[in-house]
Amino acid sequence: MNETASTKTTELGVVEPEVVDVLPSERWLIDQSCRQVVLLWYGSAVFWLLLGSLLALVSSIKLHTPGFLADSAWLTFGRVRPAHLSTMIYGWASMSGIGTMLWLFARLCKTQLAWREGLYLMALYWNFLVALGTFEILRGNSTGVEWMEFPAWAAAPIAMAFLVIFVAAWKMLAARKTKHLYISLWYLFGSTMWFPFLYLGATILIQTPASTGIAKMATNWWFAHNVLGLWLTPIGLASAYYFIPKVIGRPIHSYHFSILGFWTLAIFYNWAGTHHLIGGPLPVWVVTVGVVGSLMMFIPVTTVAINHHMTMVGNFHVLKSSPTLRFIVFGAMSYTAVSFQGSLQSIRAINEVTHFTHYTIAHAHLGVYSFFTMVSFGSMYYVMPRLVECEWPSAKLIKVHFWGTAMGMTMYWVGLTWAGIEQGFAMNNPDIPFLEIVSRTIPYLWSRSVAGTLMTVGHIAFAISVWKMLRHRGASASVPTLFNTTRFRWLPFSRAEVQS
Amino acid sequence: MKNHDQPRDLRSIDAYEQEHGTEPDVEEMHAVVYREKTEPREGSQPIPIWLILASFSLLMWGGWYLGRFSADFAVDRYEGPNAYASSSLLATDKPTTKIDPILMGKRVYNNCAACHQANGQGVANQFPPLAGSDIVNGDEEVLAKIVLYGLTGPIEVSGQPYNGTMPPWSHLDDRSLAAVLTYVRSSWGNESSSVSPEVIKSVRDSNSFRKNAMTRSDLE
Repeated sequence: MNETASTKTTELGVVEPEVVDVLPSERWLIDQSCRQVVLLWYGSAVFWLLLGSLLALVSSIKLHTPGFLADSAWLTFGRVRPAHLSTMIYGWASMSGIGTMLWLFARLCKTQLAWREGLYLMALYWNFLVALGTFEILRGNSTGVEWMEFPAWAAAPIAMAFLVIFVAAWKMLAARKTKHLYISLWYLFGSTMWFPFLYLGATILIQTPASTGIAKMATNWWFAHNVLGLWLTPIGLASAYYFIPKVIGRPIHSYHFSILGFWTLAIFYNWAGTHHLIGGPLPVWVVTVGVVGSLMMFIPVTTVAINHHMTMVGNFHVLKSSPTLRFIVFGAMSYTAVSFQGSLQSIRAINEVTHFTHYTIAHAHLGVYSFFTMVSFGSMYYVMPRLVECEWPSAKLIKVHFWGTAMGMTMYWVGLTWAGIEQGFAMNNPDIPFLEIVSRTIPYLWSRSVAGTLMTVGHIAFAISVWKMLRHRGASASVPTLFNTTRFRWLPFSRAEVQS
Repeated sequence: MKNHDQPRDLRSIDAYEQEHGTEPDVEEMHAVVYREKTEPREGSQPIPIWLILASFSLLMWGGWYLGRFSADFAVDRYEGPNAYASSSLLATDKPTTKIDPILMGKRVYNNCAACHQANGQGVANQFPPLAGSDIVNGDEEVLAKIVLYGLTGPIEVSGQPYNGTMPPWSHLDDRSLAAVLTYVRSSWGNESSSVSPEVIKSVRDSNSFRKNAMTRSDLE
């Protein structure tokens, strides 16, 4: 490797990037170049978050009160639930993820956002597709393929949007001002490459006669698992890798950990999907490969967990004040939890109990919500003040947001996990009638609706904050809006000490 | 924090920042840009040996598991309860195989065919026939005793005298002995009832003291 001017060799013989911070003025220009594009992606994401929460609540209530809104075919469970999933994944999670991703690309490449017109149009186009797709699902035109419920004709346009993002990312990488690629860029660029490939590959195999029957099913779970694994997870990890050291102001623990974590994720995650089909009519080895892939995920997850934890050590007190850090650390810890849980769940003996129960639902929400969504919230709390140039309007709203979502999610996970274990053991016992098992889960389904309501309250508080920010009606103080702002009114902290 | 509070160290500014030249008036820009800490960078802590060893152990385990539960990578060995029964902590009852006693008895009869012949006719003056024999078609318990303890001395079968020695077969299990008796009682024209393993078991238990072979007097 060539040693460039921007690297130096330490006494350990390790090539370490020299810290070259941009000037505040430069940083301001970069942030402003992202302003319209990222705010459009973010704003749309919050709209879909609200709609998705509504759909989620309706489907959750239907599970314990089946008569609720059952008169309209448009609002039956079989349509509302896939509509919830699609708005959350393609609307909320992808759009907020892309917003953060674009901002991080510009920041880390130290270059202004590339191809702004394209990305802006793509956001409008994306919203149009998600709206139309959701409408079609509610109308009864879902494909019935989980995680790909949008009608088949939506596939090519969605793939095109991903290609635009890929090109913009490529342009920024090519124009970057530093040789060294910070670990977040590895993950982000990985996800922009992997997802179009996944989406196109899965669409061709599932929506065309290119494959039949069992192969379609295997492709379905290869795709669905990788939407989380190779699209949302890299964005979430890239955000955590950026914001944790950024907020506390110290370097990430180890470059070597970062690289080991990245490559093992890239190698193993892709194989894990078929563990969804344990017991299904597949050749044994296909499932076995999925189980091995899932268990190998212990390596990247442990590595990332250690890397994040060692960075945080000694700075946990910042969690008291910084909304960004609190949301992101909550998410990063959930990543460790959900991944360990997922690996164990893929073991056949455990899967025999948890498969086809509420346990799986709790697990999926721990991944997409507790990990990705919380990290996304944290990122938005950091990014938005830099784009709109005012502070978050109210610490109270942020508090409601955090406690609503954190408590709601915890309650959701505990209730459904327990329900799932009970349900799993009961279903493996042929002496217990199925209907009795169903009625036993009803109290837990109620707790799920209550938890969902708590999360929705948090989302509404967040939406109010975001709306005020977009209208430029935030606080105009020179200190960030923190959880315990009152403490900083009299403490002699300099502006630089206080981080949002 | 050092960006505007302290004089900047010129060595830390790369060419790209210098060429920018003029800096907008700092007061015009919002505080949010200024209070930021430095861009994230990476430390260079080495990976501890235990993590490397743990990763390799996991990889080894992965290889073992892949080999153990791959079903030889065959396309027609399907995922299902029997495909991984041994891996399941919860599998309580193993699949039981149903065995046809006639087929099993025919296999066990290989032990007998050397003397009584494959067609059950025996050898004249040396080994008595089983086909049409009164003893074979007679009492099950007597038959059980013969196969368990052997038979010695002069006997008469189908009007022909024999004087030989049949060794005991008590080392075979109850199911095998019951199967072979069922086989001989339903072959070569014999049409007697089948023998259940329980009969063998009860004879074996109630005569557990017996060491000697059966004789003609025992048959009567």
